[in-house]
Amino acid sequence: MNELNWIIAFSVVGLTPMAWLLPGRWQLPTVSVLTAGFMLVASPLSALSLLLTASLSYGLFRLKSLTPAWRVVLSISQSVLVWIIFKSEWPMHQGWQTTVGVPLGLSYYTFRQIHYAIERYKQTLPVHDFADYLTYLFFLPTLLIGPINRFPDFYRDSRRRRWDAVLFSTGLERILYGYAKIVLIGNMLLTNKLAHIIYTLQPNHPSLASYLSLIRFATNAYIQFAGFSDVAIGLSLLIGIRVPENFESPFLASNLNEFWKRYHISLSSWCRDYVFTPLLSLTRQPVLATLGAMLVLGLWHEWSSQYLVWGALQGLGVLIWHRFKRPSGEAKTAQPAWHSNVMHGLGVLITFHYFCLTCLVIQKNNWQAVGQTLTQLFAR
Amino acid sequence: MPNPSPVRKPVHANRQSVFAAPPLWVWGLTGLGVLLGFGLLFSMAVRSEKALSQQFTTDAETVLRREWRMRSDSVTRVVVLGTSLVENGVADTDFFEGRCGKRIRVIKLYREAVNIDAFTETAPIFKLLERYPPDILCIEENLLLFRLPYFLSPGQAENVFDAVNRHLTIQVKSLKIQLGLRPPDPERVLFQGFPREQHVQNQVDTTALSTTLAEIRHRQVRTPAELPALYRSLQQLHQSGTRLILLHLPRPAVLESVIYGEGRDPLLRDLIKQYHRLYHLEHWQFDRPMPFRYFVDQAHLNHIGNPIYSGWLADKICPVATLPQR
Repeated sequence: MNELNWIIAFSVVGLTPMAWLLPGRWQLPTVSVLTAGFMLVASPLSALSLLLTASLSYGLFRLKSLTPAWRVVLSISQSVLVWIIFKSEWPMHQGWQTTVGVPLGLSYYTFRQIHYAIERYKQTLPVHDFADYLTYLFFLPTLLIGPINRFPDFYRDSRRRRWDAVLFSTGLERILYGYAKIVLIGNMLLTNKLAHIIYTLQPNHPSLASYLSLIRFATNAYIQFAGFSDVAIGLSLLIGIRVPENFESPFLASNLNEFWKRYHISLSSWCRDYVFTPLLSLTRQPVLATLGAMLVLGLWHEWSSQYLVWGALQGLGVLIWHRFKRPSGEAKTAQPAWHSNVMHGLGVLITFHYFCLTCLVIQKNNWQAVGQTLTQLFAR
Repeated sequence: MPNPSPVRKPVHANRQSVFAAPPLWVWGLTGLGVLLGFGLLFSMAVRSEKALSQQFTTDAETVLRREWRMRSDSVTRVVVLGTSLVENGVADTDFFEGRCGKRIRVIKLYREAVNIDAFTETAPIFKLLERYPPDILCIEENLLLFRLPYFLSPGQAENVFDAVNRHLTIQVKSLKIQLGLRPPDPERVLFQGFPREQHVQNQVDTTALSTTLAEIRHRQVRTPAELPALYRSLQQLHQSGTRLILLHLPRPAVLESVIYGEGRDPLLRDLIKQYHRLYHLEHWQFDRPMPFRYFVDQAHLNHIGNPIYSGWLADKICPVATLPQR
């Protein structure tokens, strides 16, 4: 069985019964202990890394000798340091991935910890203890596959959760939908069937094959990720915790700004709240704030030059849209309905293709391959 | 994304789907139905695998007994035992006779996607070989060197999903042929013949190369003491005068470098030495690097690779086939 099947099986057979059958105050702590056990078996490094960074990010705020500013700086720094060590290009080139491994869910819990540190600094968090914080971080349904849920929402739901058959059934439904997305659309249609069509087209129609390969990569990434998010949301619902939606038909967005409000919502809203807004407040430079937010969004995936460029391209797309969009206060001229429909459709098409094209830089292993594909797409 | 106002509240997972979630008893019944259906498919897969193994044993016994009865006819009998790599890589008797100018009979005993258990447990081929020993027995080295992960015996609990999947694949394929949705497989003579469909393929699909590489990297090398029943058979065969060969079947050079690389090579060399010392298994290593165009996929030789490999194999067999010229 692969990781997804193990997570589903363990959550359904192990976590869910414990989350409802045990006495109330033991339910969620037991879920966390079982999650830690699962991680210890699957990857001891992951369990230790999460426990260490979680303890530090909580413990630093208990130190009376530090000023609040130092607490938040140190808390964020230790999380980011671990994240950079494991997610940058250097350890990959050194072969760490095969010898040491990368902690599971590292990017997700690093951003959760940063969110926690900032909100704690701002004193917006509800009163809680270390066990509540660990329960938030050691929550298997969202630990490995996202979304980047927020502590106050999780804490509120953990206090309000009651057995609800409709919510439970909705959870099962979401798992089924997610699984179907991953297995049927992602693995079967996009990974296998379309790959073979592309392969047969390659000798005689290289441009078309390159184009389809590009579309396949972007759509497959979306379908797989949306499927995983559905599974995570469904598994959380089985335990009685509601987590935010992560996707809302992003490929139907008519511009890149809207696209990033619909694609990986938990990450893009994190970047908005913790990078864009602070940068804008500090500098009053929307261009700088947008680029900064999009670079962080790109680097979240991997600390590499390819994802840096990919993030910059997303930022560039958003800035271009801002430059040419109609000002919001401007009175709309009377246009027939078909005209606005056509313009909307055109916007959807352009946005989709722009996103797919930018994905080329993360699809290919090196810049030479990116250049070759671009030549194949446009110069023939 | 970077729109400072208005800040949208996160959308929670209680959005209404097109279909309202069914009541829990529907999920319960569905789960029960799935379990029952899966159990039924699994039992069908077990029966199907047993029938295949039984058929394989019967056919192998027929061939080996027939050859044993004719053993006074001055023909060197070579049994090549292995997987589909043997099926595709080793040519038929005529090729070897033509190349050596001697009377040689090459008998290929193979089953697709199996490990050594398929010849010792599910089908007792080594017991048959003890009873009807050939002059030369070539065993595909993968079977004895690696704990192959792709054994599909439904008798092993961890392979339940694989067994059902395989059974379903065979059934769907059969149904498609019956409905005329795909052409029937070309007929093959048991233990002989060369798959005809290979001739129409000119290029190897390398889209799944990473999957194959991952499988190879996860392979574990055997120890020289984990197959006691088989070793007893090998000793018995050696005492009966059978020459025992551990036969290397090549894969594309890119994959060969991974199979014999990454710190595994010393282990393999040591194991091969131990096999030679303990069980008199000679190792025949094909040294020529083979490009992808000699293969029908990432493992099986095609109509270009087969004669090259079989030519090398014939050159190894000819000197040891000491019987009279034709």
